[in-house]
Amino acid sequence: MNETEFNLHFIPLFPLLGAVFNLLFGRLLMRSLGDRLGREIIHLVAIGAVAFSCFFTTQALFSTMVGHGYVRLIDTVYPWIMSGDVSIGFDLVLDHLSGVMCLVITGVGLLIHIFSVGYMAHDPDYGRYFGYLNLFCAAMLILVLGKNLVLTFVGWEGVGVCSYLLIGFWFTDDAKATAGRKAFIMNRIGDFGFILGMLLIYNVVGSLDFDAIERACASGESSLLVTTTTYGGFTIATLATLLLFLGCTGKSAQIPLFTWLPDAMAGPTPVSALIHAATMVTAGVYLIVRMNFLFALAPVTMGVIAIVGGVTALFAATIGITQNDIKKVLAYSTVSQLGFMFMAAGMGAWVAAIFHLVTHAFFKACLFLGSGAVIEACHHNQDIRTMGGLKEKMPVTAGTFFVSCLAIAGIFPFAGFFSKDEILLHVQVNSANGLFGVGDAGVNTLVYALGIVAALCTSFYMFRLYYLTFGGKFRGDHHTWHHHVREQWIMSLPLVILAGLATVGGLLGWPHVFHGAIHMPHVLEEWLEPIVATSSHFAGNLDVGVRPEFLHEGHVAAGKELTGMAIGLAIGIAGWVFARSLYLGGPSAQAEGYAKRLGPAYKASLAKYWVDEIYDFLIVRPVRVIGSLLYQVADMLLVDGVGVQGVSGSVGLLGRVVKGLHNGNVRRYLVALLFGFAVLLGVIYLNPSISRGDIMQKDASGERVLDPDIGLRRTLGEQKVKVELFGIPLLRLGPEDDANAGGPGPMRPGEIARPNLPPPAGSPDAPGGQP
Amino acid sequence: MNHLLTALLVLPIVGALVVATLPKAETKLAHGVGIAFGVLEFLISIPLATGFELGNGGMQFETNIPWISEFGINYHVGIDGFSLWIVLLTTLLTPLCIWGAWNSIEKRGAEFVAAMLVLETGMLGALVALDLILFFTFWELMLVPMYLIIGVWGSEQRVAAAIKFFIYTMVGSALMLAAIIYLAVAHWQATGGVWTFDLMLLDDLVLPPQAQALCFWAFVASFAIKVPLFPVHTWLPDAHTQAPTPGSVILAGVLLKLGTYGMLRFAFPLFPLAAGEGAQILALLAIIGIIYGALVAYVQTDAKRLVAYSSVSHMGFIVLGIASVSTQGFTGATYQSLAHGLTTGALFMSIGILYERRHTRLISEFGGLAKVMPWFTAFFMIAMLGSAGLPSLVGFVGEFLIVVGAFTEGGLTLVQAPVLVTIAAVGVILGAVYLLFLFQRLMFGPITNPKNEGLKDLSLRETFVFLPVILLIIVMGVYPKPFLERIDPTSQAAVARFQLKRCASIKHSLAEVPTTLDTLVERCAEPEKVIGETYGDQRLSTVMATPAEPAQAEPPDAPPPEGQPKPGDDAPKGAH
Repeated sequence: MNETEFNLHFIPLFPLLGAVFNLLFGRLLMRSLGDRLGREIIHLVAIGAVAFSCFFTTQALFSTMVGHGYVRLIDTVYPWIMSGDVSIGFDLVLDHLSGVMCLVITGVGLLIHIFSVGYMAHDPDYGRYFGYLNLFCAAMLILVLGKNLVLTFVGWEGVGVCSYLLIGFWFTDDAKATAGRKAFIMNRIGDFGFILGMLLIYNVVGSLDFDAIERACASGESSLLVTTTTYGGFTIATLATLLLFLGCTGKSAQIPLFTWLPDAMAGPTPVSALIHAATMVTAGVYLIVRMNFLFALAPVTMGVIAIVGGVTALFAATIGITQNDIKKVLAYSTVSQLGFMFMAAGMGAWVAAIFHLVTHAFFKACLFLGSGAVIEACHHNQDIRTMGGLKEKMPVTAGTFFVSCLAIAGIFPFAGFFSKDEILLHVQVNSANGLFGVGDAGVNTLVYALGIVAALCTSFYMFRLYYLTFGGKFRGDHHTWHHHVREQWIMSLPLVILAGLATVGGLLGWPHVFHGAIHMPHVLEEWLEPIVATSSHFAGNLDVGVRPEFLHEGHVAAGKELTGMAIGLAIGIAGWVFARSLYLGGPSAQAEGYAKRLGPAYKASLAKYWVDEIYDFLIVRPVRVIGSLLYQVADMLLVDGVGVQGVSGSVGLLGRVVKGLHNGNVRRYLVALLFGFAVLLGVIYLNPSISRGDIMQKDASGERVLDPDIGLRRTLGEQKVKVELFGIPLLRLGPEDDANAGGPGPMRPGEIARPNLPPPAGSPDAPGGQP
Repeated sequence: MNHLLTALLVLPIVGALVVATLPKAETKLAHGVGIAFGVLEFLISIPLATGFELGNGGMQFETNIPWISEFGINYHVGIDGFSLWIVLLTTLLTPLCIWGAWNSIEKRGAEFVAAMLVLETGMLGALVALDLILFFTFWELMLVPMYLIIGVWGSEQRVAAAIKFFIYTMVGSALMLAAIIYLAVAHWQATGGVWTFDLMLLDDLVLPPQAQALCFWAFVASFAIKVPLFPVHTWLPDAHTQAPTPGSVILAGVLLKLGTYGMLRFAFPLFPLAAGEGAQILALLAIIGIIYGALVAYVQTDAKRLVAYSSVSHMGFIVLGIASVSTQGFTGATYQSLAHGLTTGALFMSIGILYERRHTRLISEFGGLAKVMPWFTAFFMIAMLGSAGLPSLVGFVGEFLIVVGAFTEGGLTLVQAPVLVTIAAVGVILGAVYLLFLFQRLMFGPITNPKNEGLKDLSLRETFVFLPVILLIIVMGVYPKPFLERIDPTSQAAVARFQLKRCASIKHSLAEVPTTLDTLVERCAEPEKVIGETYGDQRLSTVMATPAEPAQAEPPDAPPPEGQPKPGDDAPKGAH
């Protein structure tokens, strides 16, 4: 492995500068230079910034890395958080994995920036929009370029904020603002896991640098991360990865934290394409693959990831079938496809996960942008029941949309066919042991079944969407049809490019089984080999992840692979044919008949299984009620009322009582004085220890001992606690016998310290002497 | 001898006197003079940072002049990493606050400016004082102008709030004064008749356990009220809500920090044995405060009250960092103090700006402001995100260091530190919940109230008041190095000395009279080992490192989840 210093910080810096420029001056430009020229400058700056990043990344990748073996580019920008032995640097790394991600982000990002010029053409907040979009790119690039977990976390939260801002971009609509807030808070719940996972790892590894973590993991089962168990009997690796995965479920919208993503469709559609389909939501998959060496050490987590991914894939797909909002269908489809990626990641098929991530970025961005073109054409109407027949007036959009549908449905030879089949194949072949015991193939069977059904649903709802939108006759009003439905080249251009990528993207992962026909390398597998080297190294003894014989030459039996492909293709076509028969000419009576017959299941799916309502009932409301109770009862009534007012009230009362005594009668004063003096004398006489200030305890032999129970800590620790009544023990905690223990450290009687200074004049007691 | 700090202490007083002699009607002139003095003060304070010697954890810019020599009371001032940046925060916020009140405080303007300047001297004095009597003097001096600021220039229920603030604080102070006097007496006892109130000398004193416990809690009582720690926090929402904007900003920005600063400077170093034992209680209260403050903030209808309760939550993090007695915990706590001062200060400024325009603080009165006040919204958002601990803004650095310190190194003072940190981390989620909720209800949605339609965005003056704070929120989050590298050596030195003194206190724990540290030093070659043997070492690193050699056969149990008796059961029974 070669490492070279490189000015990588330019990659995120340019979008960042673009963002600062547009956020500070965008409004001013539009006001002072006129609407048209202002807009021109704004989008040229924004597009230029991303184009520069894209160019810079490509240049760096192709000049130094492609064809040079395993080369990494490192940029140590500056030390960021330094305290004691904690040292977190602002360090960036461009390796084979972050290279792929950067290309996707800047490439797809560039196309979406261009598309936005058309989509947002009449928005008054043009500068703010492009500012946020650039800011998002910068944050996302930091996320993938970060060389340590903390820096990844910076990007992780940064994209969360940009997502929050862009979902609520049209903030005057309260529902949209709420959707943004919901996204941010759900992500925060995930971040809670992220932070704790980081802490656990830091604690063992002593660093959060990915390289250091990889080194710590390199010894496989004998790594300290595995040999150390912690709460609940989990190993550190398991607990830390579970916590990190919680972060991933938030960011990548998996069960249980997925409900924000469909709501996030409130944002402008290009935003949905960029953030909520192609890039940000895949950050969770990226994180797992980035830390594959650690996840591979945690078979339990891997099983959980695979199952969560599988369940999410199916769950979201069944919701997608019934939705009528064009963007909602795509949103649930995204959740479902992300589930596929996690399925792969959970099976240790890191390459397949990234492969699907890339192809998904192409076809889903194309689908979202296509839906954006449709929405723009239909006068910001998103209901597919009032669309139809748009193919006639929007042939490019319809064509690209159709290609992307073929890709996502897994029809040969489009990109999705290859990536989805690779995932399903790995799900069959790889082992996900550890969850139900070693050698148990139950997880594989379960996840495979989930994946197959989800793939069937995917094909069905995608073609349903296509036919309802573009097929049949237009079902909206005439005015829209005649005056609005049209295509603009600036929006069609990105669509065509993305559809092209969705068509040929599969060549990145040419299956080995096809080598007989066309011999072509599995580009992505070879490219990512160094990234997954560590984890595939311990695949053998840990029995998790990619089987080495599968990763390299040899592979699974060709028959098995071909059967899998045939099943995948058959399913894709079945869903297509079924959807076509129901929706070719718009919503059919037959479809309605099915819906009626399915009754409750249909309603549940349409209502998204009431997950939002359940969360609201179980979490949101209780928090509010608890808050109110704490404020009204605890704060106002108890602490402030009974506590503070009580004290001050009783002081006032005492004052009134004492006031009565101070009535100016000197004789009474004198009596009181005498009485008080007598009491004082009595106390001192009866209790000589007060006069000596002797507050130490003595044991039977008269030796001074330290009261063992001062302080909470000792009581909590190993301290023996014994409560006896007339010699009968009532309560005994701690060690039974302390005869030989003798008490640790300072409790030993011989430990009395003697100051070597002479006792001061005022104190008659020599230290240690008996009074 | 360096007289920079003395100049800093004197200048605001001179300013206050000048302002007091101005003609009564000239409010604007008084403000102008006040700002001039404030800016001059800030400029003078800059050399403190630039001239600060890096890598030196000790006191710098020291001045030590005998004051009442019969009792060894000196005018001894100096700064180190703990106080440096809070001093600068004070000198920065004071002129900004006076400028911010340019229009809002018309009544008795000159008196207000004078009070602000006196308050500045009080706060700076308390931060730089290295003599306990001097410290106590300044500590009390702060009270008076703050009491007046709330009581004279506050809102409707200002008098009640002012009295509550004053009495709360006085209760704590009284206990602290008793402990200070005891300390001097103990020193006199231990050294054979040397009177001193000098912190540097008293720091060499090792007190017997009971005395430590009493003094520690006396100091902590005073500081905990100032912080404020649950359950002595109820003065804060009232004081904040009733105080005028500059009062709230200074209160949140600096005054509360003096509580945590006091713990770092006095309570923990002077009484390490008691601090080590009491840390768990402080940490528990801190965590209750984090969650409790956040939940209560969530249901507030008054914007200012909401931010006030958020302070309770945020200050909990600082106390947690201190209670962990770790380098990262101390550094993080100091950094978080600055972060909270800046972000909460900015939030109070923002609400003040709304109050100036609409004369209400009720959240429901607003909505949709982003449309009419875009710049204001942008500033508010940066402050809010900084407060919520967004990485790359100031709040994250401190929070991160605190959780790292507490999680990994807190085991010498804290039981089950990882669990405590986990609960604290829930507070991070809740922080986002109430802040975003507030933000949405103020800024987003349609403008429902017609009174908000004509609201003006920030004026040039307001922009300039905001700008330094907002810029610092960003800069300190992106590039914290210059700040951290001046704090960290002090934290390292403080932690090392704490462990040494704690060990010495353990060795000395069976004696009944105080002694000096030098008599015990040679018995504490490995202080952490001694502490670990006495109290148990639950630092995760040591817990995991110990059984590494026998390993393999049975995996070592890291922090034993059920290794101990339940705290709740035997604590009361164990007490005598």
